[in-house]
Amino acid sequence: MDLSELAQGAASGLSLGSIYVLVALGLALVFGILRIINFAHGEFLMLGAIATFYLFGRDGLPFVVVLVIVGAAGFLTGIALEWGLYRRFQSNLLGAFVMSLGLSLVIQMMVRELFGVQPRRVPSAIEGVTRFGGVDVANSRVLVIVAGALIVAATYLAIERTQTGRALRAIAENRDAASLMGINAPLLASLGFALGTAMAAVAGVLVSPLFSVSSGMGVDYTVKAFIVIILGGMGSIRGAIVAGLGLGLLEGIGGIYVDNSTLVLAELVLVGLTLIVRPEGLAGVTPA
Amino acid sequence: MRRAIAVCTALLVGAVGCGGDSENGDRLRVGVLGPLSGTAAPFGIALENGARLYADEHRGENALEIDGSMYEVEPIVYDTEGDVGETAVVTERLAFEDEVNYIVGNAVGATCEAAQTVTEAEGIFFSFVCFGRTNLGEDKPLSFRVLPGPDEVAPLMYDWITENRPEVDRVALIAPADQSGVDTSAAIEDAAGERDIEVVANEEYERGTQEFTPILTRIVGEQPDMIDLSGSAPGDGALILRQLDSLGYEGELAWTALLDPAPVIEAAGQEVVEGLLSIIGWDLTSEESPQPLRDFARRYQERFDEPATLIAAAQYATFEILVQSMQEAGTMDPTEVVEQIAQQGTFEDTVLGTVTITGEETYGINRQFIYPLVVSETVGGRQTPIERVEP
Amino acid sequence: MTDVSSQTLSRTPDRGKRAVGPRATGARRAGGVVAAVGLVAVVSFPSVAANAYQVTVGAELFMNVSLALSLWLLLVTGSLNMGQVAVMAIGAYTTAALSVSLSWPWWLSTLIAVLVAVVAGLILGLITLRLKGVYFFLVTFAFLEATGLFFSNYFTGVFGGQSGLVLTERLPDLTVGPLELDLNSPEGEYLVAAAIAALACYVASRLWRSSAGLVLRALGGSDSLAESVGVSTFRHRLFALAAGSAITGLVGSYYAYRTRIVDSNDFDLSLAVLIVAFVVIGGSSHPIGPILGAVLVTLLNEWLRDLGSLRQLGYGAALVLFMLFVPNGLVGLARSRWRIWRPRDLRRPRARVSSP
Repeated sequence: MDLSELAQGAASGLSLGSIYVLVALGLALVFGILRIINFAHGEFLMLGAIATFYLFGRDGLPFVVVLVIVGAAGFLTGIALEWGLYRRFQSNLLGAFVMSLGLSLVIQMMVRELFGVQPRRVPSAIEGVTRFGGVDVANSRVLVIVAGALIVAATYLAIERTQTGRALRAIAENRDAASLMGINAPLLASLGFALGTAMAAVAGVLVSPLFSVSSGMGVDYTVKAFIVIILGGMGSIRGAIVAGLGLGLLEGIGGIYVDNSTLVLAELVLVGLTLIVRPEGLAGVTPA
Repeated sequence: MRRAIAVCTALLVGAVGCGGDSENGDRLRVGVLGPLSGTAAPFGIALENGARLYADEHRGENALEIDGSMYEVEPIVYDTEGDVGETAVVTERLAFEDEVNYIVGNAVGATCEAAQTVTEAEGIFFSFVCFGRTNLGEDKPLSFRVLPGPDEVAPLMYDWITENRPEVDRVALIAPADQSGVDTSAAIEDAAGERDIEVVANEEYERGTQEFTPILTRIVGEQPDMIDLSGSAPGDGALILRQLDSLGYEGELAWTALLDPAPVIEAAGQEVVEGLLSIIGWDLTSEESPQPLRDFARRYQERFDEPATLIAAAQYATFEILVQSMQEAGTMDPTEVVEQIAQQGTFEDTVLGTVTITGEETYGINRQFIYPLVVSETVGGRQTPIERVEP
Repeated sequence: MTDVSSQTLSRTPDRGKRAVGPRATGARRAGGVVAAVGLVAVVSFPSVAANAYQVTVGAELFMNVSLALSLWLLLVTGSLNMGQVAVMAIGAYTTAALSVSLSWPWWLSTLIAVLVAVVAGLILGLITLRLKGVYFFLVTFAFLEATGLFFSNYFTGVFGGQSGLVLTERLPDLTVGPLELDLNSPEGEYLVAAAIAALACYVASRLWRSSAGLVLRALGGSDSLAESVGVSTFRHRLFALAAGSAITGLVGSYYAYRTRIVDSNDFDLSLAVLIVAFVVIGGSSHPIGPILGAVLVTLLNEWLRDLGSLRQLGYGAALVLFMLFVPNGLVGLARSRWRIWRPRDLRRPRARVSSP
């Protein structure tokens, strides 16, 4: 086993993991609050990446500005969608499944009409590479890891430490009881949903310089985010963070030694076993 | 509210139900199939656009004169979703409901096989860009492949490489885990093996992969002299090239598939495509490419606001050949038109230049379109032709 | 966060009103007449159809009805089985592999395919049916994805890998008295699909009327309650899954003969979603729901074909709009509009239970 290979794998795994955590946190929040699975969740990542292509790649706005604009736009979109669509499907897993898949198709096809079918490139957020322990890591990747860690830490603290965060957790735990305690559940549900879409959109901004941008790119992140929240324990925030990074590292390092199809199959088997043997998640965090 | 929805639904149903049913004796209805959604959509859209461009350019006073009457082409386009089952259904729709005699275009994996179970039985002309070996044969006289497949292309490419890059002894392949990827890599393995080039890695990746770094780390670890992107689609290939670049790989790069350089350079960035060897034919827009092809690429870009691809050009050329043969044969009967195409054998002045119909040796029947290809290298962000090669 | 294991999949607003009631015999008689008229209409359709394609759409429609009903069998107990399409793939691949590798006759490979599908369903059920709601949904989703990967990447000598398998065996000609029918023609395929759909309808209605089924429905899929009145829900659900798998496996086998090519791409998430859409759009609280849903969505998809590359946009928009405005499906709509297809007890005042 070559050490520089391992370091390369770790760098790739950490940047992948950061993206997975950002996307999965949103999915976990939405599941916690509305008790549904949002299959359109990855499309917000795609929309964030497409917006980056236009705002950063074409119009040359500073990357940080794009990050803020897309985050804010993702938040507002989330408020609108929760209010207009998702609210009606609270606890209706089946209805939400069909509706969100339809929505995902609509978003994808509309973006394709605008953007075209060919995948396109977004230039590096920061040019050049940084050297860590003998391997070169592209600065865009370093940015993903650092920015991802900051955003995740901020979100985690906000949910654990602030009054609003406590109220959010209360809703996730028992919506009726929370309402009786005087918590404005509908408002906070919107807030939580919007936070989730904003994080996915921001993940889209961060990931766009790493990979290519296309209207179909969101679907795979939805599936990865599923895997993460299952491994982390459905709805658990801490679990999603641990499992997201773990999955990223597994793919980054494991991918060097195992062929791609086997790796994907192994992930699915792991997911199945987790659900059957340890439904509370592998990450060892009991649902709080 | 409910009533409003009911009215809207009724209108929608009515509009859809009535649309496209105008019977007009002067229309040449041609079916076009392809994956128009999902990951393979770029191929299907190129087929659709190629057909639409031809139809648009031959209307009104440019209408086609066949056997004394004037015709306009009306493409009837259906999405196969890249599914075998869907393809079988929409092919039957074209055959029995739309009653077309020509289906020009289809792509991806086993879907062509599915379409052929209908087209051959119903006497329908069928042209496609699938690469399965069994897609052509004496038992399928109405079927044409309009792009050279890996079996035609790989030997040409590796002949050129042995001659001009003699230092290449070890090659690594990376391809998607789908039929075209697997077939292309198999053809390259054969071609490389026959020329004493060792294949040190043959990797496949699942659809939707974006992070290639782990696979590439492993491939680079095998110390190949050259990495061949095999049957990778342009989008995947661009990502692979970028990630290889950031891994510091400095060996030769080749892409033994009919890739279209414009979207690759666009999606990968000029720096990382530098030195890439390919066998596409031409950069459709470049000064070096033949005039008709360059004109086609310009018109395509104007009409669809996207760069033209070789598949779109081949689709357009198929229409040219088809119509020319109809005019020559003075009939629209598919069997007679197919006979005319096979008999004539060579078609000059298409957008692809001179197209030859070959394949007897490999498939037992001349149903494969062949045109001059060119080995080219990317220099300074441009696909620069080096040498013309004839299959 | 909270434990979601007791969560049920669908939310029907009138769930609390349902209770066990005596069967209505009038409905049965009406059902018989409808069945007779239906049979004549179904069998004579190919001879009145405008062209062979309409017959093909008819075959597609019956295939979809069968798939919708077999998904519904388990769904009505509260479990959404995303692995159904994987079971269909197993049926199709078994048929194709036996036919290609061993040249077994059609009836034997079909029989074995159904058996293998049932065994696969039983194994899946034994492992996963204790899981409820979202957990069952997710584990079967993983099973679906894993099956696709398995067939396209492993044992490529048997399953054909990425190229899939091309069937060599054909269905025989069926001779009934003076009539001879090629089962590989559109008409033959149509009648086979109709026969499978009839079988699916029979199984669904038997299950709907069984006492265990009644109790389960009455309790909206809540196991602990059902078990407290002496119904083994696990066994009942396992039976529902096995019956659904048998029909699905048969459909898979039929699909292999119809398309003649078995390719793992066909058995993907989009097909699974389509079947769920049949049931949800039709409404899951009555067996007529999946049938209506399959008919409506199949016809809608036919109309949408004219949109070419925008077809998926129309399909997606239709799903969203339908879920927004008809959240309880066609059955729910019919119940509130015309007061039909209601749970039978609702028509009898003495059986009415007040809503909580």
